Amino acid sequence: MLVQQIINGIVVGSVYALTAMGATLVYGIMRILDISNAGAYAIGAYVAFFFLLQTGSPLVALVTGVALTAVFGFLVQKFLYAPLMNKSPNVSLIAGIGLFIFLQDFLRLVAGPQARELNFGTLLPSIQFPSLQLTLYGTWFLILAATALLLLILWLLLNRSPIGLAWRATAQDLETAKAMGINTNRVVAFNFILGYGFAAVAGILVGILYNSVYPTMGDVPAYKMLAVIVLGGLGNPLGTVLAALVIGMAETLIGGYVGFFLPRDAIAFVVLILILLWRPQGLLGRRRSS
Amino acid sequence: MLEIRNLNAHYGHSQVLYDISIDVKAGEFVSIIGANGAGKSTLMKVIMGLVPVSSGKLLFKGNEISRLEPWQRAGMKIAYVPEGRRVFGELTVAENLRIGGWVEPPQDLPRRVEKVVAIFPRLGERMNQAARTMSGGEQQMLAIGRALMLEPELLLVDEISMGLMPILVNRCFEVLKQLSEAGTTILLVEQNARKALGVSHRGYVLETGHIVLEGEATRLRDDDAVRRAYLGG
Ligand SMILES: Nc1ncnc2c1ncn2[C@@H]1O[C@H](COP(=O)(O)OP(=O)(O)OP(=O)(O)O)[C@@H](O)[C@H]1O
Ligand SMILES: [Mg+2]
Repeated sequence: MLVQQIINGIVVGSVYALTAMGATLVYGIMRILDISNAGAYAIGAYVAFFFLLQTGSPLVALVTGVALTAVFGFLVQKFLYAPLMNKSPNVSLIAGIGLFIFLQDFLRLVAGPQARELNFGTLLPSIQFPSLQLTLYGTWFLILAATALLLLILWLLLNRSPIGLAWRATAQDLETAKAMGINTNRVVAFNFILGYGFAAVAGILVGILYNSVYPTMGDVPAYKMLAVIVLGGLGNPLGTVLAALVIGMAETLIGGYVGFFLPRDAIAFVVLILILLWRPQGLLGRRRSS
Repeated sequence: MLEIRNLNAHYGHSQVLYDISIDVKAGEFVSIIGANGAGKSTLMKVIMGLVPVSSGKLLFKGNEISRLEPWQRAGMKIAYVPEGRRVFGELTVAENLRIGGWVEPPQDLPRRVEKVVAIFPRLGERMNQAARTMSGGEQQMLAIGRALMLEPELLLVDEISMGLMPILVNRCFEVLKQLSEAGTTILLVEQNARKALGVSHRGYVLETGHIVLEGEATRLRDDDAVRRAYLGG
């Protein structure tokens, strides 16, 4: 039972990590909280759902869902955030929230308000250990494997590739990075493509995990995403992974195993507040000197 | 090499540079001196493309560059040592140097690193150390070394002496002098007017956004107004 809850917590944390990674990368470079990244989560799930219905191929569905959402991220950057770049960050924040609300209503209009079943997770086998009261769901393996793979790729990209070096330099000091010859417009575009791609994967995986996609499926993740990136130290990818696991664990263990009078989502925020009281700069945040 | 004609620049609505005209010829070492807030750093940022030109001309080797992005100007071999060093603190010394040579062919970087290390051996000893953990003087060397990775045709230096011990100030000026003698064109902005005029060929005096005086460095050093205002009598 405890083992079951711990694995469940890691699975939930993995999904949070993927969800918050896009916004973390964007914050790292632009110092804005990109709420519409959580909209990308629902878009990815819907596009994948649509292509699964059309083609019957999970692979086509996954690839198109991620690719089209990544393209959408590029467009959001180009036509929403780039023109606002020299304005106050609050303007970008509000614009991002506006886009997020628009996306929800857009999906509701196009696809209807009801939840749709993805009927994909049921194809994956589960493994049961009755003596241990343990059930390992196929979707869990899928999520853990996908998360591990994506985070590994991201780590290699950021720490072992030229574009990663450009990303880290730009995140630290955009102006100096530009003056040194880094095309920061390209770094920012890459950032959004990657970030929205991550959000799409998260949305698709959550659609599979709970076997449903619906227009407002990005709501709670949007709040959680904020909690995770603040807790991780704002714009620190490693901090985001750590914070996502802490919050995923806390809400499954406290909510599911110990039992608690608050709903799961509230537990996540209680944990956030407690940790921030102890470490205001987040788990891996460093106070910025600017 | 660099021609600035009747240039104006603003931050938002407030004008900072007024009708600036400056010439830097190939191989020349030119200093701009001026008090706090005169607009020296702004001028450097305008040349680098970090602050837009409102009106006027900005020519590099005869080409108008004022519409080019900063990274395109770096691609033309204009290198910049920003005020306050601005090294990438979380990156290693090696990575900082790599970024200085960003627009150059990667296979040529090891040779350039060797050249920089020959000038600043200290950097060679700290290649894998995070820049943030180095002393102020070492960071200044890194900021200069990073700019030299470009093998620049025009080197822009904003305040080389700020916050350094006198011995390091001398070392930094000596390096600039050697670079100049080796043919690099240098535009230096300095509050330490005595030192700046001591190493450069010509100088300009910037006062609240206006060029008020220009001339041979030796002549400026002897100018009464300059002595009173910038050389302490
Ligand atoms: N980002 C900015 N936004 C608005 N005003 C600015 C900005 N940066 C500088 N200024 C203003 O422009 C003027 C010139 O500043 P600048 O930094 O160019 O001076 P400086 O000559 O380099 O001074 P110092 O010797 O202190 O470095 C100052 O009045 C300053 O307040
Ligand atoms: Mg200055």
